Amino acid sequence: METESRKKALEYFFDKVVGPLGFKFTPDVELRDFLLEQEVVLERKHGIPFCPCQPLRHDRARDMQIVCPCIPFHREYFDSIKRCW
Amino acid sequence: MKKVTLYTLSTCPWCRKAKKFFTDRNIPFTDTDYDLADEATQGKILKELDAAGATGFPYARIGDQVIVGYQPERYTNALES
Repeated sequence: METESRKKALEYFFDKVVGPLGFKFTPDVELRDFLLEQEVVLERKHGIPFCPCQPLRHDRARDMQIVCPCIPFHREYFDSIKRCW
Repeated sequence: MKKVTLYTLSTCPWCRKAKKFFTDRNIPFTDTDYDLADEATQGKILKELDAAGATGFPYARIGDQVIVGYQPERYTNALES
């Protein structure tokens, strides 16, 4: 799948998930575009769109907690900084 | 001037902003992208993150202060303190 169409698909999916959790996409278009592009890169590399800002530890249980959007696993921290990473 | 060390991810937009913060102010820093580093370096970085209770990037060490996440005001305070 082309990068741009996959970015749009991921944005649509993420939006559906983060909305009910009280989050929304940043209005910073450049940041949003870079984030979505990196999600496509990570998904192509690992088969899963992991968080682009947290380290893969090659420990499945821990790595599955950083599949984007990983808000439920890091809720307290994200609420404190008013954003996800 | 305090020594600035950054640990980042090449995929992280906030890490880009952190690098830009120091670059724009001509503040020298060393930077390692965790995801592009070799296994030994990744292990060393994870050990430091875990010791600091950090789970994500950017991870900045300014002098003896550790700042997790993109926090420009805290960067400024740490540089000036």
